Amino acid sequence: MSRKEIIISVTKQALLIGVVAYAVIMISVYAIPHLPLANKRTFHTMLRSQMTIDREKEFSEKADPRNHVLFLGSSVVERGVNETYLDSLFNEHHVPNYSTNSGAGGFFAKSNLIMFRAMLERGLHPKRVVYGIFLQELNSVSTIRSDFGDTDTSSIKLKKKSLWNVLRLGPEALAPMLDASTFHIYLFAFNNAFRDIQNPTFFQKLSFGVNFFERDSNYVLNLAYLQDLKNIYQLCKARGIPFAFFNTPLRPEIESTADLPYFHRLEAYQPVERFAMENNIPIWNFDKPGAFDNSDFLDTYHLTPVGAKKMTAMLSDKITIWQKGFVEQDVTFPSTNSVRDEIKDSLVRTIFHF
Amino acid sequence: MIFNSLAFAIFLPVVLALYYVLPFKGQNRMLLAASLFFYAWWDWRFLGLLALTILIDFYASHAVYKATTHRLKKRWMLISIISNVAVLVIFKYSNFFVQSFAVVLTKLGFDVHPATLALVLPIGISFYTFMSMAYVIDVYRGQLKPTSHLFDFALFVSYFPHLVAGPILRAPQLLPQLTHERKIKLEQIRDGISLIVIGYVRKVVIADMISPMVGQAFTQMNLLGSGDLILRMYLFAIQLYGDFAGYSDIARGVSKLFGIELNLNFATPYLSQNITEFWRRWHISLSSWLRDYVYIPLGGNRKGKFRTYVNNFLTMLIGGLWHGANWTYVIWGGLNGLYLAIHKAYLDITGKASKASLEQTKWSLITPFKMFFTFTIASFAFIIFRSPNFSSAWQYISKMLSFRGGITRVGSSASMAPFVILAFALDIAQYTKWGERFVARSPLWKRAIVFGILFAIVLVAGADDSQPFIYFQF
Repeated sequence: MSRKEIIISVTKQALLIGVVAYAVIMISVYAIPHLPLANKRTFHTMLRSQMTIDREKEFSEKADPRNHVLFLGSSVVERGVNETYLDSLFNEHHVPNYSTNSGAGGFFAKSNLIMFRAMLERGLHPKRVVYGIFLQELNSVSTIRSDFGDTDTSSIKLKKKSLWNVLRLGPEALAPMLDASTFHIYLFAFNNAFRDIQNPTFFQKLSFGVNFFERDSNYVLNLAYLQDLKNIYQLCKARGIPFAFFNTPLRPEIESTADLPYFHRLEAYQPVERFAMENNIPIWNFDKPGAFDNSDFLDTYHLTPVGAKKMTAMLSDKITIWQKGFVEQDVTFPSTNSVRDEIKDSLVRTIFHF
Repeated sequence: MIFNSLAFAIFLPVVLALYYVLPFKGQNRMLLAASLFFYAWWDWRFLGLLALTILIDFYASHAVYKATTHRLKKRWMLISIISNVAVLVIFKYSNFFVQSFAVVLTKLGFDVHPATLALVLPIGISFYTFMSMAYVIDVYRGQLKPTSHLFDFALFVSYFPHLVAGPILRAPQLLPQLTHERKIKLEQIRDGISLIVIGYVRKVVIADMISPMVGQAFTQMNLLGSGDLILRMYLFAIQLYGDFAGYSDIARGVSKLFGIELNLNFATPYLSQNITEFWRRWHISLSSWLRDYVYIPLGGNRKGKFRTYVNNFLTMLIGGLWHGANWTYVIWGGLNGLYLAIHKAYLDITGKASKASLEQTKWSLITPFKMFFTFTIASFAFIIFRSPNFSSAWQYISKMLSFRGGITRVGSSASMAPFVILAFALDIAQYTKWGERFVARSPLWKRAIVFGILFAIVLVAGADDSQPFIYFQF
């Protein structure tokens, strides 16, 4: 072979393979429903955000007149709010709403703020926003926090799937599909398995996987995270979007000493409740004795699909009342320290009693 | 520089472009410069060590060749061996020997506080010293005439596709290809590109995707059941194979683009029917090196049955130590030596002959069971290879064989299935020669579709992060 033939042959073969590879990548990025241009680290929250955008788009394309109620939060929201069931309850009670659940496992207020802002920039128009507070929300040493900053996602944050973006970010966006943990999140989210499947069969376990949850045994209150929650509220306020909080429930029975953060309940909820009261924001407390049974929980923090339906029904009632113009503030304790201590003691006793 | 890096993706096209436009002499010089650059990309300071090895062995080989007496020849050969072994001992084994000796002294009641050296292990040191040393031994044995050009010898030792992780090449095979003008054939380009893609699939898709699951088995052993550990034992075997065979495939593929053929290093080892066959198919260049320069000089099978078993065992022990300065490698080598000795004894007792070639044998109903058994015992030994120390290996094995806990991570374990299937599919294609036939007979568009899809998976799998090859540490 002459030198020219060699160069042409190598270039032709390498180019053809490269072209086919990129064609496969681009087709896959467009073909996989809701696939965000995220990386493995940001995949979970960006998938939920992308699903939220897609769902609102779907409703607006159908010219559906119902109002969009958006839920934000972490896994306790992701698993605890059943959109389909909530929509059916709204429908039953003639409340013209539909809901989307943008909660993502491990992503707390800081990440929610970034993603919420990104969703608004992409044209999302929720009519109401509800944030589910998790006990560990303000805990700076929580091991289950997967926060990221603006810079982490500045290059990929909910980018539109333009040809150029897909060319640049396509391989990275598809990478979560090959990774066991993120692919299993996709399967869960896409099949609504977090909320629908009470007792997974062997094959469902094979395809969806089984989640394990870590429990934090340390708690260090960090009010910087409260600022993120406040900023989410401010974003809504600036756009005239009504905003509400709710405290997500915890399993009543203590499973082990690793569950000691229960004692930090008051510390965790009080700053949020105080902020809600100061700004006349509705706050609904579902973390109180008698509201849920142990059997409603999959583990310490997460509701089973049956438990999720129970909480979703409670949310439906609260939203309906809210929509009628009532601001309910169901706080865990009054503001005076003496009463607070009394309740704290009683709570401690309750926990030991259980 | 590693093959699965952006730096290499830029380096290779530039080197190829220069290579294709330069005349023969310029090609060799450029290849040598590129190889040194490739090595220096990791740490330029170790170029001196590489140069020292090259210089000593180049002059030692000439001294051996020119020596008029056998005694003088032997002396020069020993100088080469000692200098190579000394480099290995200083940079790779000194701390290991000092610490092991200190442990023995402490157990004998002495209070010792050994001083160790804070040395960085030069990448690929075991590969290039073995190649360079074998060159001098071949000259001593009269099997080779030393090259008179230092640059040719330097290129032989430092040729970048094989430099850091093999295959360990022999001079009679590689040197003539370097010293004579090369004619690149169309088939070499076709096969080279295919091999590069397959190599990346093995490394980036199979090995790297399995790697986190395996890592978890060794760091979170207590959270896993026996079933998980059994599964991950097999997964590590597949990961290690994908990692190392992937490197070898890329090395061979890249080399073909220069018109230079490198040896096959892995011939579907997990489809072996017995452990002897496994070692003929696994890391072939090291196995054959050990056979020719350790096993045969020890007496091979010429000194009776018992000595044959002992020689097998000793050779594998040294092979284990070659992998690294850790008792786990020595025990791994010893365990494989034991496997080989038992298999040899079995063959001697039953009067059956071991298969001498890598050709396929006839299949029977029992063949898959034999393959699975061989795969299992090889994978079992790899637990020791993977463990940071022997107590960790023992903990893994005891927990695994307690048969308690089953598979606790069903979903994530199941998600490994596509990678395992892909690994065996590639091996079956290689074993049955279907892959070879497909590449040889298919038109370009068909190959582009198959290899394009595979390359897309590589790009996706490697999009987030790249992991270095396991065998670089050796």
